[in-house]
Amino acid sequence: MNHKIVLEILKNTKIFKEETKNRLISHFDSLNQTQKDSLIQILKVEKKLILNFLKSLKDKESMNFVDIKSWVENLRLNKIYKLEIEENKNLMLELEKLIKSLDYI
Amino acid sequence: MEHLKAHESADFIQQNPEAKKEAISKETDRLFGVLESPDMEVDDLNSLLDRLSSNPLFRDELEAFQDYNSTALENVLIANMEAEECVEWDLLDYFWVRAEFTEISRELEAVWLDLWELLSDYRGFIETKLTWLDEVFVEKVKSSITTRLKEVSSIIEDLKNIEIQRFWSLENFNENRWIINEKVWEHLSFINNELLPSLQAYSKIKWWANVPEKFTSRFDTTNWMTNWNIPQNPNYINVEYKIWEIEELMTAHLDSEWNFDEWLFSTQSIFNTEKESHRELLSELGVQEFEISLLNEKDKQIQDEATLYFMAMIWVQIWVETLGWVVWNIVWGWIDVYDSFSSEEELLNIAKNLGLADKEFRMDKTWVDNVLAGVWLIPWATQAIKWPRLASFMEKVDAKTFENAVSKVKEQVWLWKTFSEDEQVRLSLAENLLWRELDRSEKSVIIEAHNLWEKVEWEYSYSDIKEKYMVLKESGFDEWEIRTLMEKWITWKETKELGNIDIIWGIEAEKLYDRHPSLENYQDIFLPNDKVRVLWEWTKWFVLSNERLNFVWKIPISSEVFPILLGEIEKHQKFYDMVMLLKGMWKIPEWVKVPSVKDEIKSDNLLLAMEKVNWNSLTTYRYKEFYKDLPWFKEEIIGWLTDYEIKLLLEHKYNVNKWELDSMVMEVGASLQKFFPDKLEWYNTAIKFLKERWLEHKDLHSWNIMIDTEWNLYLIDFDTSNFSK
Repeated sequence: MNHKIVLEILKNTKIFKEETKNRLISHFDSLNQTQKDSLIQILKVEKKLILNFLKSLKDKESMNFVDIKSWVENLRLNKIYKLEIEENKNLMLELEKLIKSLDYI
Repeated sequence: MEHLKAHESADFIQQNPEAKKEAISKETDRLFGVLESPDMEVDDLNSLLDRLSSNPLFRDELEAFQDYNSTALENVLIANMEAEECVEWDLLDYFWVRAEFTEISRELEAVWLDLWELLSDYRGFIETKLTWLDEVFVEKVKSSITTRLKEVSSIIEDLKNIEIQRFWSLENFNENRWIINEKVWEHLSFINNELLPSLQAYSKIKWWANVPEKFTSRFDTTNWMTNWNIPQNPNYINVEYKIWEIEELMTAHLDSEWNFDEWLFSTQSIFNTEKESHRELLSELGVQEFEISLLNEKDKQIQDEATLYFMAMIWVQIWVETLGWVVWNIVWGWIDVYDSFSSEEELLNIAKNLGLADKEFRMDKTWVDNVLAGVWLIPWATQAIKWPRLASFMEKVDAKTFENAVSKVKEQVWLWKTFSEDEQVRLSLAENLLWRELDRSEKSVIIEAHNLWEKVEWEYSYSDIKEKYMVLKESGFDEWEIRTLMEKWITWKETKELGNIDIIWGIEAEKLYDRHPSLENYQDIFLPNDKVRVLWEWTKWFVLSNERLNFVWKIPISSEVFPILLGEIEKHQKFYDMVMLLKGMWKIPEWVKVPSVKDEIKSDNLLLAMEKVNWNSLTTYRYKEFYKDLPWFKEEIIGWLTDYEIKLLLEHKYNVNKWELDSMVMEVGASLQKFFPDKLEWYNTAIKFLKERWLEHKDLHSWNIMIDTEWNLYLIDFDTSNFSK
């Protein structure tokens, strides 16, 4: 992993405390290679860590079932919306091509 | 909710709490299934965490989770830090630096240099020798060391740029390690030569040591009885004043870059080991010199050896120059004469080729080299400039070792070798390299040929070379072997002319392929029925002519010369275009021409194809005109000869002086006036216009002006030409 990418991921991640994150980012250069490697390994399993954390709260009160449900629904709608926009774009492009080819004739 | 409806009716669920619980858990499972799908990205999950954080209970859980992860990570980092680099971390903490230095040390490690040893040397020195020093001042010394070391990364950056400019790759960049080391040494010279010795001396003088009288007395009073004018003592040092300055320095502030202020008077006037009297005093006081090096032991040895032989070569060089640079020229005939006594890099290359210095070793291109590049015309200047450097080196080196090195260099470079009991033969460098691989009979042939060489001295003529060639040929040497031998004895110009006599003339294409397999790539341009004549051949180029297509081809032997050829083609094309354009504007007359040219690139092969000009150069026309009264020198006879053949004929058959022939080459204007009395003005305007268009030929002599049968003028040979803007 490139150092820049690692720093970018570090900035956005939610698995560490803000304080730790800031310290890591400012002293990243002074870490040795093994230290960097272990940090990268942890960042690679970031998604798994978050999922496990959420799973552990599955039957507890602290997690609101309705919140998750509406969020998932929103995400699904968002994705569909994005797909539609893309399809529209492609269609427009094809149309333009058609019109151009008609012009030739 | 659709999912729920599929199983049970909503009413039933509403009424039955257990059913409701079950339904929720099923739905939660489904939702987690969505979360675990591979489409889900980390950013999405992060936004989910944000959303859920509005719940204070969840926020607490998340913080606990983050706490746990952070401490785990810190533990991992600490464990790895202690496991791997405890010494270096310790060192870095001692000097109060971390981030920058790990980067620098990595860069240095890539070129096999060791920063840690240097730092621990400094630390050891400070901790053992400077224990009496005030803590604040110790910190100043440390920060001065580190600020200077931080600049190393910019040195490396510069060197990388130079490397890319020169070689187009960083593959052999680690060969720069000696240069980097030298530059770091220069950077730290204030610390090593002035600051640390001065502090040591300070502690000794201040507390216990007596300064010997020969340094403290202002006048040399050894002969005071007889001498009216008592001379000043050259070793006199105002020690009290120096002590005062050192104290001043210790209390002074550092400058904005955390360094000792260079412009402060105290900084400039403490002890300096580079001054002879200071060095003497310091060694009497028992002050140790602090020597630093980033190199490992093996590289140090390589450097010592190479510097020794390099200096020995300069010694030999100066010695030879006093005998006269002409002699030098003969010995080094196969190297460009200017290079051999002006460029240090070339000298080092020679040392490498002789096996005196390691192949990898590189030295900084010093100012000496730069100065010499400007003054190569005056051999004495070389001597004057190089002498001081040599003298300062010889002070340090053991006299006997140096003597041995010099004799070894002489042996290699200019060798008196006993071949038989009564016969001594002087061999030049090039031959010496070959010498080891030859057997006895071959050696005898070379000696025989060499005796010829001795006879002709440095004003040799072509007939002598020819004679030498004959001797070698009768002794059973192959034609090609002789050529490789001779190429090292004579410069390319002679080779060219020699080639026209009888060696290279008319080699069949097949033999050419045998000799240079790389040429087979060009095979498809030599059609079997074409009459291809080798006009001449050199280590870098072939020039072939194709009678059928009326083309001349210039073909590089190795791909290394591709850039040069491409440059020549480009320049040639530009000239051609410009001449055509100016013709269209009526600025240049029809009869001034540049042969058309084109490059042909076939896969990886490049060649220059130029329109063939029929027939002679301006020089030859001049010869024909000038010597028309010589018997048999008539157009009917010499009409079919090429330029070189005519020149050789004049030289050997009619014994015309070589210098007379050569001087005629330079008389471009006179020759033109002779043949184009009414057109000279036109020609001059053409040249003037080309110059105005920023095109300068730079090598315009009468060999490079061709005249065809219809009296058109052709300008050729553009490899040294220039666009001034």
